[in-house]
Amino acid sequence: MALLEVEDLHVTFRTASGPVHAVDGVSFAMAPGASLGVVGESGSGKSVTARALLRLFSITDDVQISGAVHFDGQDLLRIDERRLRAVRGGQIGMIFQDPLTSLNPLMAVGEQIAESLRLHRGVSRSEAAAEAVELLARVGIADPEQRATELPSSFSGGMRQRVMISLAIACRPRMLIADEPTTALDVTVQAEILLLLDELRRSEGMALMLITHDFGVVAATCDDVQVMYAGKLVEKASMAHLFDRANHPYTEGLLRLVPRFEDAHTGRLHPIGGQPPITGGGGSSCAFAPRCSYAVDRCLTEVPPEVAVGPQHLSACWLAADRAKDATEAGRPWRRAQ
Amino acid sequence: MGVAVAKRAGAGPGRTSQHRAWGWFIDKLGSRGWILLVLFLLLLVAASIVPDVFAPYDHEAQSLRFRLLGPGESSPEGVHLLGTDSLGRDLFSRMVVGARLTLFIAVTATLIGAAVGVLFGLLGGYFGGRTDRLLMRLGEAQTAMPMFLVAILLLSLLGPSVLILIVVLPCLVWPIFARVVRAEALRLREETFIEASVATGCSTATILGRHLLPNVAPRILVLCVVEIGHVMLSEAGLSFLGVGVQPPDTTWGLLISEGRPLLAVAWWLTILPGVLLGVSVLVLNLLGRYWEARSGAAG
Amino acid sequence: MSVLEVDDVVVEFDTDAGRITAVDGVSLHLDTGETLGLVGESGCGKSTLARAIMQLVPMQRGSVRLEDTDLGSLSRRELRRMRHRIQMVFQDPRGSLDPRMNVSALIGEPLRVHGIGDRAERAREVAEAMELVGLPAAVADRLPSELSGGQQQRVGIARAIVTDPAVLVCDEPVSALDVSIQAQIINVLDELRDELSLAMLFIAHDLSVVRHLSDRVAVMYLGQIVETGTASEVFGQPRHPYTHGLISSVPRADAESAARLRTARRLVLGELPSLLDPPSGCRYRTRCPYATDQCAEAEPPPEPVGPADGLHAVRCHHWRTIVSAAPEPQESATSQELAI
Repeated sequence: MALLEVEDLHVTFRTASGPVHAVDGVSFAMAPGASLGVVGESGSGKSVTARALLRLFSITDDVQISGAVHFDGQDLLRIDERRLRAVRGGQIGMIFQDPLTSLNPLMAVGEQIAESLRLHRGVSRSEAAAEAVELLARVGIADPEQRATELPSSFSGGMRQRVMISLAIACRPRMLIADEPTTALDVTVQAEILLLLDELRRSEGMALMLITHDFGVVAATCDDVQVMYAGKLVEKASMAHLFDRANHPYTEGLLRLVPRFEDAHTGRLHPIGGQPPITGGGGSSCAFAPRCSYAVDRCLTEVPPEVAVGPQHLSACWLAADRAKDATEAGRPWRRAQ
Repeated sequence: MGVAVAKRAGAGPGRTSQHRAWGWFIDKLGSRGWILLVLFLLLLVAASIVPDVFAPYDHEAQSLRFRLLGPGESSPEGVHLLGTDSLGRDLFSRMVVGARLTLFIAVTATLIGAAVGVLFGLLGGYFGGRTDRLLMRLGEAQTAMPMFLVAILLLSLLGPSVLILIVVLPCLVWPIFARVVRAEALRLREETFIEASVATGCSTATILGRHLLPNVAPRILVLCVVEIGHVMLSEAGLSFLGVGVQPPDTTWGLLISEGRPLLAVAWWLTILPGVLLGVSVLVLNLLGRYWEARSGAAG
Repeated sequence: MSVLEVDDVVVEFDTDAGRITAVDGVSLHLDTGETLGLVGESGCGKSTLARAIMQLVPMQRGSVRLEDTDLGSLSRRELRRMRHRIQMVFQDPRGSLDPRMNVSALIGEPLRVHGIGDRAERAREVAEAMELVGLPAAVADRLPSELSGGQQQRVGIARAIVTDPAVLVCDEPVSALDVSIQAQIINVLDELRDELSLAMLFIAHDLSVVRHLSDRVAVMYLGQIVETGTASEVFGQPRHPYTHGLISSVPRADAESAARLRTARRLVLGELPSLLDPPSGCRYRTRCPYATDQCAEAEPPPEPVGPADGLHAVRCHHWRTIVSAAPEPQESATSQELAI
């Protein structure tokens, strides 16, 4: 049975310049202990999707959410604020790109973790303090007793992210949402954090939802991947399957966009022309059609449905079936051009 | 089924409580109010350029028979809208004529103060170090001195004159300009575009004049408008004390001063120029804050 | 012939906590038409080195020779006159443009301050530079705030090449941009380098981007260059444990992704030491799995690797015994090889 089941999620921001359909009918499910990478450019709706699950929006956002988010037998969009708070940081932990802004700069990190433990689990003060030290040790912080008494400012970026992770897993959540957790970090630190997330997921049996723009990050940590564009899921697949047979033209574009490390200089890169729509989805055509070099007339008049193009592999493209056939024959269609 | 979540919080334009107080005023006024303010200012400027168009009577014409007429009373010449003074001169005409010198002194002194302050602020903010410390100490030293008293002293020693007024009044405002411009220059010099212009090969003069100055100009303009009002008040104060503008020249401050002995019998001679002065300062302040809020929102 | 020669540059800074050596004896050279990629993690001193080369921060020691002129020996005025031969592209595209100048004024400024051409010629040069970087003529009158991030960086590049410099220093020119924009800007730089035969110093933390653009690379750690050589030598057969760890850290979209990260974790231990108290001897020894007493005692000099053409050099006492830290998995060997 699925741990998380998102059904037809819509998130619309009302802004001065009109509504923005940041998330436009997204459905997916995650089994307990599963790992899912969500990939897209900025503005694709990947972060908003994650925030919508826990209704984490700023008080100044004028936002409308609809659909259903079933988690562990309750609909997170419909439970009251008090029960939602118990889920946030309780059953679902979250970490973000910038750990500094999520930590209280004037409170020792050990205290912050202990506070969260007392709040969610009601343990005693001394128990909480001891467990905070244990948690810091578990996320790979050396000399945890000493570090627990220090302020966030005395931690490096990578260490702060470790503290955030220890906070997020403090209450043994069943799911961890990581929103670009390593984007601000150096590569060697990123490597450590990604491994830590992967190892914690396995040892704690948590589900991991990792939001990133980097397919490499997904490959290191997730079994499944879904690609978002303009508020919609355009492709879902298992990791191994997607890289071999990327079907959607947008996925193909993303893969060809960045230089591959293994390649020395192999000519020019292949940028995707144009810009993602700033108003998100909500149109009556394929949102990617204006930037798509394969687009046909139909793409401009009808929204493509999700089509199964392989085992556990869906693609929302009118050409999905044809492209899947080509891929089977030729393999790695996105690579041929290189 | 939709689930509405968060509502927009009331967002005022200001950050500090002082800003918020002005913000409330600014909100209340609305766009039509602004047109009125600008119109008022334009009238003042017009009156100081061509007073004859606005003044109903010769401001120096005396008439001892019709002295101390109250507002609205008439002499054979006609109705005196704001009454007459102890020599029978029409108060409204004198206020119109007084606008010229009042504005001239305030604007000139402010511009001089601004020029000095901007130069010091730019140099101090951009170069930092010893230059900065020297210039800022100078400003502080001056701020610490009771400049108004010093002005009184100077003017009584050298004898009151418009020229000396225009030399002394800028001393009151330049430290304010220097402080604001320095803070801006300190912030801007850390911006990459200043580093980029050094890398491009710009000379220091080019960087100060073409990159820093244009970027602080909006703040300077706003500050000028506000400070003109303050200088006006200071000039009025000095003239009121008798060390400022001397008759037969006239400014609003001098009018207030002349009316003061007669406050018990002819209130209008003091109160009406006072109200005009107060309103003018308020209008300048409001306009300054309004532009600041607008440019802040746009930038 | 080297158009840029950097010799033993040292840059020190005073911070609140004490004096730090941000760049510690760096030498490098750059030939016409060549791109040198400078990689390293935050705090390694690569941006400071760029600013020292640009003479934007004072050097404590060493020299920077541009086309056989020692920039350090010039007066302020002479230096200013030299600047059109060496230009820079900055990391923050928006912040590096004066918000109150429009696109054509921004791009034309270097020409104006160097007194190049008359008004009409300058307008022509600006138009030409805009075309080279792919800016439509229609944006000439716009302010930076009215441009997209990619367009802003194109303006920054156009401004840097408009004086036809010999050397272009690019400090993380794409790291502030969205991935799809990055590809466009990388292509622009790639094309310019070919077309204008620029010598380019390309600084970035993204190894894939550096490998894509660079002929040679230099790897920096704590203010020193620990390994340098051709891109294929350094990235294909890294000799320094840090270089190897850095390369293994790059998340690649393939089946061995996680395994490679584990290799990285083995090669880069613990945390970056403070610049206030750098390790004695080899700078890397506190994080190196191969460190011995020798590493703490003596600072390893740069040693040539392989054929003595002097291109591939490494600063490590043990590079011969560390069996060339596992070469790159061959493309053919991994049919599951995936890409990014």
